[in-house]
Amino acid sequence: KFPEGYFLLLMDLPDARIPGSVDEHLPTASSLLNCEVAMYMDRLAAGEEKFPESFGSLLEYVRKTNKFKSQSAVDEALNIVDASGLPHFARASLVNLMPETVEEARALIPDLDSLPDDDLSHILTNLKNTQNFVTN
Amino acid sequence: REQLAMFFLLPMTKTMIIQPKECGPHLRQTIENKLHREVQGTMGVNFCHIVAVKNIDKIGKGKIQDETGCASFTIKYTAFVFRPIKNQVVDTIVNGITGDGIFCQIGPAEILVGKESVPEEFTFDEPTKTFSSHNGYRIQKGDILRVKIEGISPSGIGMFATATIKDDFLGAIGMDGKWI
Repeated sequence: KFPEGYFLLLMDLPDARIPGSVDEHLPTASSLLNCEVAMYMDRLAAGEEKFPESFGSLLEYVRKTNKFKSQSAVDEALNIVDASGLPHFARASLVNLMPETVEEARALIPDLDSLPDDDLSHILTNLKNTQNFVTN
Repeated sequence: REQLAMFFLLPMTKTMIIQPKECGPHLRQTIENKLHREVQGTMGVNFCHIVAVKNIDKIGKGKIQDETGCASFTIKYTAFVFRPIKNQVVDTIVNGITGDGIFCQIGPAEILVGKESVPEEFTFDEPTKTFSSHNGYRIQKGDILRVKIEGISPSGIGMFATATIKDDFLGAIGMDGKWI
């Protein structure tokens, strides 16, 4: 189940190409974590509805790259990043990429400047513990 | 600031045409089924690939078209969409390697890491169809490859992107989950 309030506001694009910066045309947005997507798509796939081929290939992708294999682990990961106060997209990236170190996190995710190293390290440790030990 | 996730919930609008023979009991279900069939797996606005219809928010009042007798309905719905973004770091799956580079995929998005975007210590090995380094590391089909998207354009129902693995903390995660 997706949390309430996730939405995307669109602006008309005069150019047919995908622009470089999402902020040009998506001023407010909430991102979905890959682990949430994996759970959601698994539920859809288990239903009776038939989906096109692209659904299957995307499902295979999120299953293979999903870092959290149970609903409990997903919920715990969400709690950890929600408590961080980071923007939605930075939270999603932390969980999707699961950087091992503070240095790696800052290299991969630009919007972590507001978070001190100790706090970031604490978040990464908690996420790693959740990944390793929350399996049911 | 760049958005750094690939999946979103997106409000969308579509006008559905319902044939006279489709009108009758269970009309709402007919409209819902038709919407699912027509939009799921297609490219929506802003070049977002529509993975699924999450929910239908509103079905407007039907209007009869004089010439055809069909009814048109304006439907507002929430779509679950996929769209990678330029400069985003993502995990991809390697599904082919040639001398030109590494071909990866994320669902409907095809991603090419050209040979010039592969670190110099890796060279293409023709017999094994891998990129291998002098100290024995290999990037091979099936590996998870962490890339940074450099350019992206729509392609049919999906997208085509170019990416690099030359920056820090990018590259292959082998089948055992360890960095290569």
